Amino acid sequence: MKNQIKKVSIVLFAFCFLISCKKDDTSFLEEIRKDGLTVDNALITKAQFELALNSCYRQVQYFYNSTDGWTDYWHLGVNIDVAATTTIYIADPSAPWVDYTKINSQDAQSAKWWSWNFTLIKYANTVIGGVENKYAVISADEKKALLAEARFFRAWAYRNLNIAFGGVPIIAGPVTEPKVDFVRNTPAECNAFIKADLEYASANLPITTTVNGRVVRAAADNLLAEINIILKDYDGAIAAATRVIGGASGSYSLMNTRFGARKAETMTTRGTPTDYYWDLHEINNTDYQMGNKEAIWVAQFERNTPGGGVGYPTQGNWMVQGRAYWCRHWLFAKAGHNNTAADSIGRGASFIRGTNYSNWDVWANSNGDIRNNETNIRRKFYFNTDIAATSTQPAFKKGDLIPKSFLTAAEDSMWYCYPNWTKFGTDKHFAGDFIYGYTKDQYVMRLPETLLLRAEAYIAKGDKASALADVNTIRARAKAPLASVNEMDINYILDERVRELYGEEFRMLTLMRLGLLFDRVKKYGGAIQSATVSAKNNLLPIPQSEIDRNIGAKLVQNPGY
Amino acid sequence: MLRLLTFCFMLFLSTQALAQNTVLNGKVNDAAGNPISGASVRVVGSNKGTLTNDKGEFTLTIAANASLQVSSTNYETKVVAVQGKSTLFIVLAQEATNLSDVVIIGYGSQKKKDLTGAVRKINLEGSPLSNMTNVNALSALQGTPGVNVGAVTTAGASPSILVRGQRSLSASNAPLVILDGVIFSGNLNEINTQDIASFDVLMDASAAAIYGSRAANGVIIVTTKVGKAGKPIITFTNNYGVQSWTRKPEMRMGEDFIKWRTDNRKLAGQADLSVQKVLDPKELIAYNAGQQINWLDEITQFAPLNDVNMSVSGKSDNVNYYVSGSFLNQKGVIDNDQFKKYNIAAKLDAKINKWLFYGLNFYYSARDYSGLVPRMDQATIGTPYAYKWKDEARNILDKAPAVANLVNPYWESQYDDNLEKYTSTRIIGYVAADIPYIKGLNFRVNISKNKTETVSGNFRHETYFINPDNAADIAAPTKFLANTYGSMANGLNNSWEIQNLLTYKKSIQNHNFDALAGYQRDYTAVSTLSTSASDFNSAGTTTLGYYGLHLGNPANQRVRSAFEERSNLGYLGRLNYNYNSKYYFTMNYRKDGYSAFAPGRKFAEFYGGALAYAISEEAFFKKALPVVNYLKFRVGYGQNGNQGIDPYETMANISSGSTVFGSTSTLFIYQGNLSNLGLSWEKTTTTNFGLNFAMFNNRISGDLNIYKSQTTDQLLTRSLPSLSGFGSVRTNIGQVDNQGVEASITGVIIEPKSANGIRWEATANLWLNRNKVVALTGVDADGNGIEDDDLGNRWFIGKPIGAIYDYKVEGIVQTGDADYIAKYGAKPGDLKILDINGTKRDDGLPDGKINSFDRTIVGYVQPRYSWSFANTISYKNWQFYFNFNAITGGGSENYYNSPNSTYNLSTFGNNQQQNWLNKEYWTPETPSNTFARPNYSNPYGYSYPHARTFIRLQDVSLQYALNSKQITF
Repeated sequence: MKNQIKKVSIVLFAFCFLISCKKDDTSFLEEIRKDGLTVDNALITKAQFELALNSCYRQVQYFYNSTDGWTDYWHLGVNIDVAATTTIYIADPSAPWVDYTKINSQDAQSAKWWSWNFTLIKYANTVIGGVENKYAVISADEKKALLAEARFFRAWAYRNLNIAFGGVPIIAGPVTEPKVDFVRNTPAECNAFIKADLEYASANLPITTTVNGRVVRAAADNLLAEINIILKDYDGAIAAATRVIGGASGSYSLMNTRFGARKAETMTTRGTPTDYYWDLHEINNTDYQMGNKEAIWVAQFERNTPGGGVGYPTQGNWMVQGRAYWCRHWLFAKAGHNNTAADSIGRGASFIRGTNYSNWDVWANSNGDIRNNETNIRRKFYFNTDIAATSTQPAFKKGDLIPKSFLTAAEDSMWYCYPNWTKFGTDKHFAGDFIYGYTKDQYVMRLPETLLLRAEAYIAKGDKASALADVNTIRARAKAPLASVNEMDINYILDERVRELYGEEFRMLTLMRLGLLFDRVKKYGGAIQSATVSAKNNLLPIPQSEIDRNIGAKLVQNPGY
Repeated sequence: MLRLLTFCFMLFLSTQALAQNTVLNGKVNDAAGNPISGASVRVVGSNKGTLTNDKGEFTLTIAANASLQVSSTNYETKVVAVQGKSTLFIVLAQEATNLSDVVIIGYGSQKKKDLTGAVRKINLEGSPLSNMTNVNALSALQGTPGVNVGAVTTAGASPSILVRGQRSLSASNAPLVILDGVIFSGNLNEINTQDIASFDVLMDASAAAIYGSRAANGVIIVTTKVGKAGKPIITFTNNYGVQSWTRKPEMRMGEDFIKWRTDNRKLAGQADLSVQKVLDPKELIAYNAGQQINWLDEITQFAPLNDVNMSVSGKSDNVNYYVSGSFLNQKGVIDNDQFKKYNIAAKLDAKINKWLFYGLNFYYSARDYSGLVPRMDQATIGTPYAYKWKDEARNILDKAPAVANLVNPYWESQYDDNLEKYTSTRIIGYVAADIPYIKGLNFRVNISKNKTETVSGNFRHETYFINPDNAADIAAPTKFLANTYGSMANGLNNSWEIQNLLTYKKSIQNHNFDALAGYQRDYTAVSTLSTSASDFNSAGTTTLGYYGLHLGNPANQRVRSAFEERSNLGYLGRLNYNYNSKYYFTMNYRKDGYSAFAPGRKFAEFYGGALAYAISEEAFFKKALPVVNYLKFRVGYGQNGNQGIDPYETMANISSGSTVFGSTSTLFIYQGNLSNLGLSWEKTTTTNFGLNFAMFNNRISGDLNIYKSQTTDQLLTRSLPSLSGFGSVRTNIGQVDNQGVEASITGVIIEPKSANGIRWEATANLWLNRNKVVALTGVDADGNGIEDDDLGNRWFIGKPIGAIYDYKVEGIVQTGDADYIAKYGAKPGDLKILDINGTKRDDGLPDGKINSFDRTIVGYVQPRYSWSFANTISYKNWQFYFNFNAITGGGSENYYNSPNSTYNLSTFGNNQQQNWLNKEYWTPETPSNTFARPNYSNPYGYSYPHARTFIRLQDVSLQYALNSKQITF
C-alpha cells in the first residue's frame, strides 16, 4: 500500500512537471497576436489596401463633425471675414481667434489643423509605403489606382498645411520608428511635392465612380488648378480647371433644374417656394451619384449608420452645423416664442453669425439672385403671439413680420434674429428631432469653385474677358445680374466665392493663399477681430508642443509668434 | 560535542523517568484565565506529549520528576517541573504579538522574530477588525504603516492601494496580490471578507524579491481561514450596517437660490431683477406652484449593508477542512446603486500518510453590479424650482427642468438598462511530499485555475429621446425607435498557474538553513465577444432591451471578438540562514520572463539579500539591558520588476473603425501605434533598514523601518512630434526615487490583575513617504542644460509626483483694489491671481501680465505624514475597539470653492441654468475675500485646490461574547 502511494505520487509529480514544461521557455513566452492584425499582415490584398485608404476618408469627416461649438467651422471662415462667433456666446472676448492677439503657439485651432492633416498624411503614407511591400498581392494597375488615391489625400493635406503654416516637414513615406528630428521644408519644396502627387493622381484616378464620396480625377485637377495658381503657372491652372469644366476629367455641369429627393415639393415646410439652388443643399442631394452634376468631392455623413459621423454617434451622427450657424429665434421670448423648436424655425444656438460683409455687403447688387431669395437665406421672422403695445412700440399680431425697429437690444440682432443661410440646416428634421435630427454630406469641392479658380487664373494672366465668362456662368445659373469685365479682380472673385461657397470653401486657406487674411479681416471681420488682427496672422503658429517634442532638430516658429 | 552532551542528558533523564510514574492532570490558561486549547505539552527529553483539549486540560502519565515544555502559538513557551504533583495549573504569558506571529513570506512562512525583511502582518481572524463590514477586504488595511488605502464611494467598489508611495509614473502602482500561495489577478471583492484569516504585506525588496517579476509595488499575501483542532466549529455571522454620506454638498434652495440668481443678473448689468426675469419660464411655473426639489436629497437613498455568512470548519489528525457560504447585499448612498455578492468557499487539507499531503481550495463568487445611478453632477447643478416627474403615474420624467443643458439626474438611469455581472470560479490545489531518505527536503506542486465570466449589457430605449414638453412625443415615443441602441458583451478570463517548489530545512547544531528553489509558469487568456445593434424601427419595440439585439436593423448589428494572452515564467531561489537565532542572512534570486516584452528583452534577473542581528540574544546584552526582551537590527537590499504593459504593446498594431460611402457603412484600418522593440522591465531597487524590539516583559514592542528606493527604466509614454502621425511611444526611460519611514509601537497600557480585569492594548503607527522625479525622457528644449519638466503630466524634475501646478491666489479682487484692477484688467470679484513671473516659468520677475508663466507648484497631492492609532479595551466578555486614522498635509493651502461656479456660465451670461453651493460669494455689497463673484468665468482655469488634512475615527466596535454556558443547544 505504502509503496503504491509512493509510486502514484511520483507519477503525479512527474505529470505536473511535464504539464508546466510542455513548451520550452522561449516558445511559452512567444507573443502571437490572434485577434488583431499588425502592419506585417494587414496590407497584403487589394481589399486590405482599400480599408487602409478608407482611413483617409474617415479623417476628412473630422474636418466637419468633431465637436460641438463653433470650432468645427473655423477653417470655413469663422472669425475670418465672412463670419464671427457671437460675442455673447463667447463669454471670454479675449479667447484666441475672437481676439487675434491671443493667437499664440498654444493655439488649439492651429494645433488641431496641424494634427488633422499630419494624421491624414500618415494614413496616406501607410498605403503609399505598403504597396511596395513584397508580400502585397496586387496587380500593377491596382497599385497605380491605390497610389493615385493615397497621393491625392497626401497632396490635399500638404496643401492645407503649406498654405496655413508656410512650409512644413515633408514626410514621403511611412514612419517606422520614433523620430524627433524633423525640419521644415520651404513652401516651394512643399508645393513641388504637392504638385508631383497631384499630377500622378490626375493621371491615374478614375474619372467616375459608383461609390458616393470616393475621390475622382476631377478632384485632383481642381486642386491642381489651385496649386498651379500658387506656383504662378496660370496656364497650368487653366488647363487643369478646363479638364474638369470641359469634360476631359468627367462630365460636370451646374445644376439648373429641380432635382433630387425633394424635387416634387414646391414649398418648404415654412412656406417659401423651393428652387433648384435650394435642392443643391438638401439632404440626400449632394452626391454626384444622386444626380448632382456639380458635386466633385463630397465628405460623407449618414444618419444612424456606424461611421456616418465622428462627434455624435449616439445622437444618430448629428451635425452641429445648423445649431452653430442659425440664430436662436425659437428662444425669442420678446417676439412670443416659447422655447419650442420646430421644422419651420429650427433650433439654432447662434454660435456663429455672418458678418455684415457676408450677410449684406456682398448682396448689394443681387436683384433676382436666387441664392439670396427668402428660401435660400432666411431674412424674415414673424411674431409668434400677439404682442401688446408699449410706450416705445406699437402692438403686433401673431404672424406679423418682425420689423427691424423691434430689434432694439444687442441680443435681439446678435442672437435671436439674423439671416439664416438655409444650406446650414434643414426644414425637415429626422424623426421630428429638432435638436439632433440633422445630418448632411458636406461639399469639399463643387464645380463653381473650379470656375472661380479658372477665373482667378485668367485675371492673374490678364485675360479678364475669359474670367468674366466663368464668373457669369455662375451668376447666370443663379439668375443674378451679370458682372461686367471691369469688375473682374480678385476682390470680385472673393465676393463671388462668398455668395456661392460660404461655409463650403476653406475660406481661411483661400485668404492665406492670397496673403489677404490680414487685410480682409481688418476690413470685414467682426469688431474684435478687425481691431486685433495683424500681418503675422497670414500664417498660423507652429504648435509649441511640436517644437518642444522635436528634440533632435529645431522646428522654426513663424515670424511674430 | 554539544550533541553528545544532550544525548547524555537525555539518557540520564530517561533512566530517572523509569523510576516513578504518576498520572498528571493539568490545565493551561492564559494570563486572563481563559483556557488555551490545542497547546502542546511535551515531556522534556522524550517524544511523549499531548495537546490540551478545548477546556485547556490534558492528562499525561509521567515520571514525578519530569519537566514539561508547554507551548502554543502566540504564547511564550514555558518549562514547568512536575515535582511529583498530580495536578498542575500552568499559565502561559502572551508573547509580544508582533514577534510571535507566523508571517507568510512567499512560498513559505517564518516567525516574525526570524524575519530579515520588512513584512507586516494584519490579522483579521479573531481580531476586532473582523467586526468591520468591509465589502472589500483590502479596506481592512487602512491604517497599516506604509500602506495607503483609497476611499470607496460606490457599492461594491474596490479601494486603490499604494504600498510605500508611488514609484511608477505611468505603469501600474498596484501591489501584487497572492491568495493562498498563488498569484491573484482579479478584484479582491471576489473573496468573502469573512474567509480571510490574515494579510501579510511584503514591503521591501529583500522580502518581495522572491516574487521578483511583479513585486516592485509590494506584495499583499492573503491567507484564508483553516480549521482548528477540537470539535467542528460552526460560525454564523450576520452583519448589518448603514452607510451614509461622509460629506454631502449643500446646494441652494428657495430664497438663497433666488438671491444668488438675482445677484448674478445684477452683476451682468441687467436692470430688471424681477423674479420673472431671474427665473427661466419653466422654473417660474414651479416657483408659482410652490414646488421645490432638493435634487441631492432626491437621489440619496437609505444605504444598508447586510452580510450573512456561515462556515463550518474542523481539524482531525489527518484532515483539515473549512467550508463557508455568504451573501452580501449592499446599497450605495446614491439611488439605485447596489451590489450583491454570493460566495462559496471550501478548503480541504489532507495528510495521506507521514510524508504525503494534498490540498484543495475552491472558491466561487458571483457579483452583481447591475443598474444605473442618477447623475450626481446634474443633481448638484440642478435648479430647485423643478419637477422630477412630468407624469409620475405613467413613469414619465420631466427632462429639462430649465431651458437647456440641465437634464433631470434620473433621465438616463430611469430609461436605460444596464447589466453587469461577474462569476468567478477559482481552484487552488497542491501536492506536497517529504522526500524520503533526506530529512527536511520537501517537494511541492501548487496548481491554480481560475475562470471569471463577465456579462455586461446596456440599452437605450426610445423613451430616452422624447421631449416630455412635447405631448406628441409622450403619445408616440416609438417615432424615436430609429435612435435606440444597445450592446451586450461576454468576457471570459481563463488563467492557470503552476509552481514546482523544492524546499530544504536543516539545522546543524545552531546553524539553521532554509533553502528554496522553484520554477513557475502562469498563463492568462481573456476572450471577449461583444455585440451591438441600433435602430429598432422595423422591430417596432425595444421591450427586449439588450436581450433582443437581433431585432435591431440588420445593417446595424455589430460583432466584435477579442482575445488576449499573456504568459509569465520564473526561476526562483532563496536561502535563509541563521545562527542560533542571533545572526540572520537571506539571499534571493529570481529570473523572470514576460511574454508582452519585446523579443530578446523578455527576461530579467532580480536579486535580493538581507542581514539581521538579534543583539538581544547576546549574553552581554541580556545582562546589560535586562529590560529589553528583544532587539534586532535588519538591513535589506533588492531589486524588483514591474511589467506594467499589456500584451501586444511592442507590436505595430492595426486599429479599425467605420466610415461611410453614401449610406453604406464600411470599415477602415490604420496603424494605431509605433512598434517598440526595445520595451522591457521597469526596475525598482530598494534598501531597507529596520529594527524590531520588545521590552518590559514584552509589554511594549514595535518596529521601525527606513527605506530608500530607485525606480529606473520607467515604462514611460514618451511624447513624439505628432507630425509623424504618432503622438507617443512607450519607452524604458526615466527615474523616480522614494524614501520613507514607518514606525509602529504596540503597548499594553493596562495589564489585567485578574482574569476579569480591564486590559487595554494600543498600537500607534506613523509613516511617511517622499518621492521625487529624478529623470524623465531627457528632453531639454529650452537648452538650459537641465532636463525639462513635463508640464502636461505635472512631472517636475527633483519634485514629487502629484505636484499641483497652478496660480497663486490671494483672496478676491475688491472694489478698492484700483491698482490691481488697472494693471491686470481685472474686475472686482475676480480671483486675485498673483503676478509672480515674467516671460519664463519661475523667473520671479513679475511683468504686469497674468499668463501661464505665473503658475507654480502650489502643493502636492501626497500626504506628508500618515498615522493611525488603534485601541482594544477588554473587560470580562466585553471588547471595545476603536481606531483613528489621519493624514497630514497634501493638497494645497489655496482656497477652495466649487468649479460649479463656472459651470455653463457662458451660454446666457445669466447663470440661468445652474445652482451653486450654499456658501458665501462676492458681491459689491458683501465683499467676500474667499469666493469669487458668481458670474466669474475662471478664465485662467484655476483648479481651486484645497488642503485635505484630516483625523478620522475610522472604526469603532463593541463586542460582547456570550459564554457557552449561557447558550446551550
